[in-house]
Amino acid sequence: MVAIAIFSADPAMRRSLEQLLREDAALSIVGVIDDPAAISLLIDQNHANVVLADVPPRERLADWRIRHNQTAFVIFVDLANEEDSLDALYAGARAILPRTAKPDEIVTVIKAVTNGLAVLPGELLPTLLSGASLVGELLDDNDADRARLTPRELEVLAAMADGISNKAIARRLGISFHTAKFHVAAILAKLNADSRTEAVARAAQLGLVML
Amino acid sequence: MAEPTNSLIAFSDAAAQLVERTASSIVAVHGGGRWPSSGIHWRSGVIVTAEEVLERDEDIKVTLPGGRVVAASLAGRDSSTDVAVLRFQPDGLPAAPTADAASLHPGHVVLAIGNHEGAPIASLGIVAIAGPAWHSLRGGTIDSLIRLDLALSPAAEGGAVVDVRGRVVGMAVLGPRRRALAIPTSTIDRVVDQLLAKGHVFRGYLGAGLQPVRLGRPSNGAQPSGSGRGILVASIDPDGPAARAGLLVGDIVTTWNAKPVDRVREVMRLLGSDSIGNTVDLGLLRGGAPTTLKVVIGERAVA
Repeated sequence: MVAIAIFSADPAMRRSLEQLLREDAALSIVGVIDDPAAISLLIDQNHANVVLADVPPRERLADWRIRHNQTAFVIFVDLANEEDSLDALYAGARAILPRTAKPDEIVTVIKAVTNGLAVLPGELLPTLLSGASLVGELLDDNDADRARLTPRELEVLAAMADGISNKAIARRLGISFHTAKFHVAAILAKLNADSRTEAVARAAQLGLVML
Repeated sequence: MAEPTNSLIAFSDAAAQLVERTASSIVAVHGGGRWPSSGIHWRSGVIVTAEEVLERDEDIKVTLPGGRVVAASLAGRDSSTDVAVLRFQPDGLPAAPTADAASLHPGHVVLAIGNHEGAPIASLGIVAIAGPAWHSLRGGTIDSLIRLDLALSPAAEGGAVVDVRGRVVGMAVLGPRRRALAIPTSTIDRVVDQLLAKGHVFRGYLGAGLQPVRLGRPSNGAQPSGSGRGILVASIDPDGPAARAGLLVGDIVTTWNAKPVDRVREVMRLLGSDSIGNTVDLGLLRGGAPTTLKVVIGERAVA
């Protein structure tokens, strides 16, 4: 019997997850809540094997992970926002699912994580392996100088030009420290730079930072 | 039978003594990077360390010689010179004896001394190049180019470069292409003064995104003047000095106070802290026609 806790601030999401789990005799619901502060207590009291959490605040997830390392956290995100997925992974999610995931996908993921596996949507892989994919991009691009930075990367680059640390960049942009580091690494790769200093210098030559 | 004294033994013992003496002022710095770096107790309660490898602004800890770990706070960073300054409680720890790096010449023997988990980590080499002032990639001014022929361990980055008289002549850092460099004492003193006073260093600010371009032939068929290259204004900060002066996207800057400019790195150098508030005459090509513009350089706090 797999003990599952559900967290979502959206009543429709809570209802549909609850309904789905009730249909499977092997799955037992130990609690359905809408307040992230109550999750830890619920897990403490009921030893949940799996938590289905709908976009929890990143710090909350990190906190739950530290306190309940026997529990697998399955996080629902909006896949269009890559950073939410990255943040969730760095905070300790065992599986990422789109909020629009179908019932059979959710059940499959619950089975997989109870067997110790981690599950991701396939389209996240290129982002995660971004070192490999970026090299591919640069080789394809005839004009390798024209490094195409995403709008978010340009924001991170502007912050790097101000000389601030990764942690301060994360704070300024409202993202996790790990996601900030991830963006910085991507920028260095795209600009073919060995260091932040070199990246900013090259970016300045390309007109990508204000001087 | 007593061992004959030979110069190799004397050299080795002298080097070991020098390391031991200097190491009493060198700390390890835990600033969030993949591994700890080193720092120099520069003045009482003030540590200098390599800015580039200091990932965090808070929760910085330092390991003193002997292994005790204490907290340190960031006073400020200057990414243009790779110097970061920390404050801590020295509790009797001596500050390093420093000397002007002007005494260094190519061939002089130096040691790089860091702190690894409370114990000294040392490497030996010579001064490869001792050159004049240079400008870092970030447009900072470093008072002299001191390149070392020395294998610097990442753990020792931010530690001391010492001459054979035991004087700290600079901070060891890994420069472009990861070659060991020394940031000289005079540069460190200047940056420490600024960071302790203001918390950051200031740079001149123009408010424009720039790209180097090749100039075409003028449409009247005349020879292109100058180097045939200029700097294109690709973007403008609407609230910045360039916008206020009337600079437009598409303008090509060819001279700065009558001196030809064709490299963005040159402009970064010209926007050092001494440029703040200055009025600069920019020679431009606007729509192919030469014109000039006066810009008052603004100020920008850089961490």
